[in-house]
Amino acid sequence: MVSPDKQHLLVTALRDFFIARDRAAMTEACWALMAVARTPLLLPDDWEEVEFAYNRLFVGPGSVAAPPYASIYLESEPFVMGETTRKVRSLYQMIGCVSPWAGQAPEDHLALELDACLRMRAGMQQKGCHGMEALYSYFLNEHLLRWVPRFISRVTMAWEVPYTIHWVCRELSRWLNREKARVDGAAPRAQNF
Amino acid sequence: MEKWTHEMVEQALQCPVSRRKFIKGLMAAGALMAVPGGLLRSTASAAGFADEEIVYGGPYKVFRNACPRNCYDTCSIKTFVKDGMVHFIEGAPESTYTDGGLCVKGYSYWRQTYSPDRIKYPMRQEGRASGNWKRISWDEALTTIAKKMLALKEKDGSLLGLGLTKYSGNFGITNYGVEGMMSSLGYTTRFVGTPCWPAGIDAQNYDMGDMWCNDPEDMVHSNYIIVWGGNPAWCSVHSMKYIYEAQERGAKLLVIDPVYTQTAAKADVYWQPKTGEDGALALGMARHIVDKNMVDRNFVNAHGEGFDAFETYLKKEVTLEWASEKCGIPADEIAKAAEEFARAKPATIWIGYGLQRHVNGGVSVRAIDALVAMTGNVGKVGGGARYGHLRTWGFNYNALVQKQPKGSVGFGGKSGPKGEFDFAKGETKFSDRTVNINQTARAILTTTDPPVRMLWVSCKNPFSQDFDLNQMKKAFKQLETVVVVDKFFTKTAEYADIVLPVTTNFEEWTVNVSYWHYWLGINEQAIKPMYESKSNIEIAAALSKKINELSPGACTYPTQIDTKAWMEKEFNTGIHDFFGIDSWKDLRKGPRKAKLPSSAAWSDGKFKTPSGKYEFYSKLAAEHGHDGLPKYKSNRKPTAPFRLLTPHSKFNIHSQFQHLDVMEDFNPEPYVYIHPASAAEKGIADGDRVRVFNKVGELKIKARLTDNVPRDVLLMYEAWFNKKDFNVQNLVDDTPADMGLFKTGAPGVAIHDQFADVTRA
Repeated sequence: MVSPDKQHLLVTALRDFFIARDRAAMTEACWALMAVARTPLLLPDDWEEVEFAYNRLFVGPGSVAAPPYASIYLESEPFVMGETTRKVRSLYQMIGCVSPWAGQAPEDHLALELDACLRMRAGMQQKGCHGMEALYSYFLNEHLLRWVPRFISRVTMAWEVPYTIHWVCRELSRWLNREKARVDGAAPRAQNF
Repeated sequence: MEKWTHEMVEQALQCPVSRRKFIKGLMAAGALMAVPGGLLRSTASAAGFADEEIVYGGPYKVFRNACPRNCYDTCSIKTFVKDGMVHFIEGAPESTYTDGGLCVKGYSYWRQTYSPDRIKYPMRQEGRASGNWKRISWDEALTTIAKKMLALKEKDGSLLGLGLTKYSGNFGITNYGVEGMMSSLGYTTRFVGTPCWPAGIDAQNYDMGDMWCNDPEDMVHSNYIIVWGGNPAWCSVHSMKYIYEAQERGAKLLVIDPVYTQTAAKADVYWQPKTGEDGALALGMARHIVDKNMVDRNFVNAHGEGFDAFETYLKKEVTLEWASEKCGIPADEIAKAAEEFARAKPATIWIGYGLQRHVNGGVSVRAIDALVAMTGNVGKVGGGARYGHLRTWGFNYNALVQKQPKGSVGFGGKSGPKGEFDFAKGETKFSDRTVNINQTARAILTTTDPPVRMLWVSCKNPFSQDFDLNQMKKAFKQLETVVVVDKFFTKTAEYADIVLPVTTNFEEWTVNVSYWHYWLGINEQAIKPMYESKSNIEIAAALSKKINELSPGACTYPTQIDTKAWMEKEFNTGIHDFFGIDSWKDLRKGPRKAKLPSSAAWSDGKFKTPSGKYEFYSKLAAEHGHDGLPKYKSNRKPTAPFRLLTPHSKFNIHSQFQHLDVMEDFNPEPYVYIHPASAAEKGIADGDRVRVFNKVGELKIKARLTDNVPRDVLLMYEAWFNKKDFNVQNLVDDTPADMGLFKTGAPGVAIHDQFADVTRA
């Protein structure tokens, strides 16, 4: 099993990677992830290339190959600030928090959702807090697992994606699957930590 | 705490009361944990739950917006906002013109704001057109830009090495702050003119002293309507209801267009003339009206100047048969329509912008104007030679009019108008250096002393809308720095060094009027700017702050802008009185229409020409190197077997809208439209991939066969398809139209005098 501390560090690193503004933040997140990840990262020759690819995939300025917003995958048509964003915003409200960019950036950005996971996981440490468990289970099963695999597959299918980004996405995928297994009460598939 | 299920969670997410119940439970259990270093901010504390930051549920808040695009209709929009998000929009019912409905583009508006494809942050490209982008802060972007500008000034002794190309991407009045920003930095190089309608503007100025059209709503009173070289069923959908009403009242609609358009499909009579022979057709009609003694002698005697000379020209050099041969419309049909038009009173001609995009476009408009005038239809309700107007544009241009820093050095030569919307007055020792916007690539490549080293692009997409793409690519290579301010990653942005994200109309304060109808609409900021976008005037202020930090006094633009206050500054007593409002706040109740003494332009018969009359003969035109009379002028000689037409589609306004996913659903791919007979000669079948080529370049595209286009025409709708390498500017050169220099600073472009060949790819 991954220890709770490691889990926290892993999700934190994933969050920080997907919200990274620049190469420095991206590199720092990768190093943090490497410390707790299941598989080692083959360090890239050129982090700048990773940054360029990262922006092509997730940031812009052009049409991004894998927008990191749940709405794009869950709405009938690909736009943000619709029903999905509102729903995620409501969920944040239920756990007593709000996006620092409310009204200016979609709440359903992957990094914000991973941050919400951290909060919910922390809340679940309190005994007898069934509500938070139910909410987390819902968020994981009915939301994250419905879009993140599709997001990752867009990354997988994109052209010229550096190994580093594939590696992060794989860690994200593994964590989600493990978390689902844990939350659903089944044995986690990977226990190699 | 009760046991929660997924269904209960789902329900709570939809219901504020359930959510509150849920969160109270979590608080009681001590489960609302703040995570150190987390992104999300807590709204709950030991003191209790605080959710005042976002109001959930409740009624929609309604904002007033306006479509700021380069479109006749300039629709008034009602925007419905809840939770800080635009939920939906509708056309404002208060405007009898917008009449509660938007077009297919208008209804997609909020999708622009919420498209995942928006430019979200300032970004820098490492290697032009490399596709290698880095996200940077506004501070870093502006520092880089400001340092470059200061370096130019240091090197050249002026800022003439800094160029601005801006046109109609956002006609919100405060967006003229981009030009203001340039002025506040010093004298710069301006790409002036308009690719849109300049030849016609000059023509109407020679004839009447101004471009001024009747209220489109008065077309219902017309007994005979000619739509000539325009396609309002696609490009001005809100005007069609007036045409339909006129038809229901018995009016005849004649549509004249080389292409069988959606508007043509609504016509009682459709003529498909040879492209660019509109002048001959108009002159033929005029000659027949003279022959039939149907000239309105009262009008031409009282209000006309030079009609005798025009009549002499017609009798001497124009015949029905000649006109028929030139334009391809049978003489008897021309004669019949001319008589009906002359008899109909009031009769009107809507002069589309398409027909003046020729080397003889301006003079063709003059011939059509003359046809309307000689039949006594100028100045009449339901009549008029309708082209456009700028009568409602009397704002203060507070954002535009800025002073250069003390000691600025500029261009010492004569300065003309910087486009049709240049309302600045007064002469100074120096001026900006003006170059032709319609020959942007050529101007960049040939301007020296100093060359254009840095280009600021805003409200414009030169790679999609300016001419000769191959030349444009060469020209951009020559530039040292390119800054593109846009909402989307256009073809031009691909060639930028720095892109800056700009607001959509829901995210900024401004005010809008039309160049066609007479309504005024406020554009309220309905939502916060998404991501890190800023309005054009906020960008100007931020740049001013930065450059003044680096070099105090380098920019006179204010360093802090209250965008709402700047919108207010555009209003004046003239606007208030013209629209019958006490304050802009009245516009919150809905758009307002100008208080017109008559719906007819020139109803008092007092023209703004030198003679004060309608000038069939214009001395001014002659002084400007044209013929004083609207004499026939030959069209451009073909340079390839087919004429290439690149008109507007209904799914986009130039390079805007088509790139949205929702529009790509409607119109997924571009085609070249070919007449079946011509296609057969070339061995081309419907759906074949073909190569369209000429001396400018080539384009590979699918063919669609239709007899809506003439046999000698290849037609493709100009557009920017986001994910497709389609660009009509691969094939369009920058040959000038005959007019435009007088009122817009540069001649137009003969966009429809282009030629190409086609073969199977």
